[in-house]
Amino acid sequence: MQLPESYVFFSQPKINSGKNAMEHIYVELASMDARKPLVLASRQVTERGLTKKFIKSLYDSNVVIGSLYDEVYPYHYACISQLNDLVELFKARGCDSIIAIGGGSVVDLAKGVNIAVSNSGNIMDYAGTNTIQKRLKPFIYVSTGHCGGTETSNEAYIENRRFVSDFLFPDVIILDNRMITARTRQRAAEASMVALTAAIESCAVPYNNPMNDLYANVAINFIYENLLGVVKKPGSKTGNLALANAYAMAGISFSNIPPGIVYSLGIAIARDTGLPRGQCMGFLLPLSLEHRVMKNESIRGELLYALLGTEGYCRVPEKERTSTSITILRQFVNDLGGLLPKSLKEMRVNKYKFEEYARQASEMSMKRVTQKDCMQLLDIAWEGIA
Amino acid sequence: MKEITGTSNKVLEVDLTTQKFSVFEIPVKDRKMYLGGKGLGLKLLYDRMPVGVDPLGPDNIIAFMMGVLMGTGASCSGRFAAVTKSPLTGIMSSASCGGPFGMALKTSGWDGLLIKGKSAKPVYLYIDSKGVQFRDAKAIWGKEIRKAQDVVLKEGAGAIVIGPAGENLVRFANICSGHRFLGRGGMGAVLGAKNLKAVVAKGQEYKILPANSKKFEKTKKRSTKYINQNPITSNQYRVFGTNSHVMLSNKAGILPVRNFTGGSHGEAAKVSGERIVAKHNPKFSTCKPCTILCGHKATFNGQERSVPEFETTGLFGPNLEIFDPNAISDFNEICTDMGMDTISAGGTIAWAMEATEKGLFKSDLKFGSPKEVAQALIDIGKAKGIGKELGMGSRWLSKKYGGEDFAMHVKGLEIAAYDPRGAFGQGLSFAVANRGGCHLSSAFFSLEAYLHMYQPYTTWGKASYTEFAENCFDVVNSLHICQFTAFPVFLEPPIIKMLPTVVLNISLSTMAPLAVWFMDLSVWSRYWSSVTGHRLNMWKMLSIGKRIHVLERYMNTREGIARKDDTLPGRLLNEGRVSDPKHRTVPLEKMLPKYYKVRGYDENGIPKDRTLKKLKIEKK
Repeated sequence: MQLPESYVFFSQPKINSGKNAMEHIYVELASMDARKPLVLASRQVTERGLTKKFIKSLYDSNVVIGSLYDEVYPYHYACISQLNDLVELFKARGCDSIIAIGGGSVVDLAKGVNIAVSNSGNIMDYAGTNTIQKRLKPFIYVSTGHCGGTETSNEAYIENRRFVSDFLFPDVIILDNRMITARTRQRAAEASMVALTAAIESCAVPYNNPMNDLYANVAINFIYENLLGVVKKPGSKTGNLALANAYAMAGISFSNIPPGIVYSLGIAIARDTGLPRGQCMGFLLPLSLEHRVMKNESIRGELLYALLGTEGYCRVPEKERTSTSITILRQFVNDLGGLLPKSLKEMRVNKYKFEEYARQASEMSMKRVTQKDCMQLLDIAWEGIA
Repeated sequence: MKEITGTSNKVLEVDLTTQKFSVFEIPVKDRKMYLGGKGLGLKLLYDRMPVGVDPLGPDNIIAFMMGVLMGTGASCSGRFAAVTKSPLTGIMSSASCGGPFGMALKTSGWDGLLIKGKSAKPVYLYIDSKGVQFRDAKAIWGKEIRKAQDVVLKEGAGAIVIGPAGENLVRFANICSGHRFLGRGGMGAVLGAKNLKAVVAKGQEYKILPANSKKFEKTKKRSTKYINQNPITSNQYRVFGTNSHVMLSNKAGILPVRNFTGGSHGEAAKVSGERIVAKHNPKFSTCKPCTILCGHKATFNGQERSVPEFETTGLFGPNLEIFDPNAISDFNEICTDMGMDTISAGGTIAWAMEATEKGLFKSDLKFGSPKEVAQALIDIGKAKGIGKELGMGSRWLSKKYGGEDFAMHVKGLEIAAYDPRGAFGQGLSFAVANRGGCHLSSAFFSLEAYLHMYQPYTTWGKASYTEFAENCFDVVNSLHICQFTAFPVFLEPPIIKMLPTVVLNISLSTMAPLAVWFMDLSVWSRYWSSVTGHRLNMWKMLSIGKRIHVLERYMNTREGIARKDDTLPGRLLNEGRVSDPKHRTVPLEKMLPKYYKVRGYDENGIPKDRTLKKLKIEKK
């Protein structure tokens, strides 16, 4: 591993993982001078009994729940009308912090409320990258399992618009065994593919950022080691907890580098077709790496280190590390069987929309990927063969 | 005049790229399996069009299909169908239209017209019994619909024309025939993308005769009797037009108010059919032939104009908090001139108003303010300023700017003016309709909210009736006949009239498939068999309706449609209406699995192989 000439790495969140992690919430709040959180959850989280478990964990603390709102709409983004209502609720109840239980829109909504209560003016004016200029209210994220990783990142989707700021990282991430419960195999595979894409794309690129690599490598390794087990046995407690850790680390790693080609295309396709992001990214990931090899672009051999660990990495000759890691990754995705599609054709994505997807992806990646590269990858992905 | 007995079975196939045309005959087998109109149009496209074509590209095909009843003088048969891949939704779209073009094309000796390719420069087509001529459209390109129509109608008895909206590829541009429209799904943009401004048919070259005129006359007599007996067709629509729905919807709480936040409004009466009769001096202005006479002209702002249909009134009126019939008429006139679907235009403007209010979108549009609406509509038609983006429809806008929960569309097609939170069956119907947010696929609202034949707030029997009505209306749109004739066919037979309402309610809710015994659907099958000379009973006819519906669904699933798309806007699933103290929402997830089961779809909403096999649909 080489030390780069310069690099920047930022990670705000404190991760609290494992048994009784939730019991630490009151300490964390106190350390941030907060004691009256607004708690957000979705109806499904409450129906699964998780809200009850959360409240129970605070019994012996001096935390006063300002308000518990568990009617967050099950959209794929935070919706402005609900956000405005929650801002009113936050102020009316005199809350001083936010706790989000769950994933996806719940966390996006929590981040949105946090922007609104900590800043003045129209929240949509803060859309884009680094438009938030000051620290927000204390924010704790309680994971409930297969959420993909964007929850722990520095981004949020509010009304389909992307907000990116280091102030959007959660202050504390709680990964408690009691809250991380089994979901469907499909959900596990899809969420893992989002996180795996984020992690691989943030470390397989030529830019070397050793801290980022550490987070990404652990995320990749945890997913590689545990996903097939969880798919086989969705109730596996250790497997699910390891995946939740992987998602959290992938989110942090991903926040330190602009989105890559697979992540950006996956978002564009998912937004248009309504298909889950993980499905769109899963089969694109090995294809994209194969495509880069075909174009003689370098892929760092450290990907193999992430997948196989020190021993496996050392066993493979240096020249073969890239190709071996791609083969392993391809096999890994194939092993997920029918849980992921194999081509855009199979997904019934319309070919005439490729240009639009490429344009959106290039824009999202801040031109890190070109429209031409996107079009080439999409053409390959149509049949699913590089 | 030459005569055609039954149907000519001849279809014109035009390639605008090569400016050539050919003629092919419909095999009797296809005619028997798909009737005509929409059904046959879908089958022709299924056989010819590859999956995944760009709706605005040269490979998209648009089919104009005359049903077997066109030209025979059957009651309410002055309608034809068009089928294409919609640029608004990206899936199959079909539309039904009155107006003189259908009659003109049929009496030129053609049962249908398929158009593909793209002309290098703007053209219009002239069609007579000899075939097609490609004519330069330079003089009419850019002209508003009525002005262009005045020019081309000098050459034939009927024409279809697009306006500036179609030329500018507004995704909800429509096609006009006389004063009627192929309204939904952006068919005008499909023609615009092909550089085709109009199609004019000479007409009056052939007389259409039924194969069995005695049976035909007998059926016509029975059909006319039913229409004249039924209070909806003989009174409600004839006197008040479709705007009679305003007060009925308001009372039932299904009127769209302020972008579907309320279900009724105290000022609704101001835009009702009753008020238009009292204040605007309406006269008949209908399709031909027509027995129902729902279309009217009236005086607005000192001019004689078409009375806006209920959908237009609902979506440009209460839904935008505008209660001035003159303003609504102004919007209707702009949409007519520009060539735009008023439902999608109204739905998109309502989204823009709310998005503006919430700071998601920048415009001067605001609820209750008509002035900005008129300007926005002109801008949409001309693709100027914000009009360029508004012309992409509410789905596109909400994906770009946010506000997806209040973008009131299904599969990209803006929903019509019925709030399904007050009629759960209509909610299911909107969600699963093949072309998107279409009220006509089962028209469930009328049975739930107007006629009270179904309890609006339960899910009982909703899946079965939706399937049954969809099959019926696919038959209606394939014969082709006016959908309003379903009211008398469903409600006038003696058994239905004699049954006490309570018994009818229970039997419909619990045994919907048996409802067919009470109705007289044989009117439709007899019409078809008397004109074509082929045998058809109502049971077989319903199975054909099923085949047409499933074929369309199957074509859509090949374009990516699945259960994820059979949904409703978030607002209808999560927020109650202001007017409903119980804040009820549509329990869609309860109804969907039942619907898929009765339809023979798998749990992801894809037709099962055995369903396709049973319906003799060849899987591709």
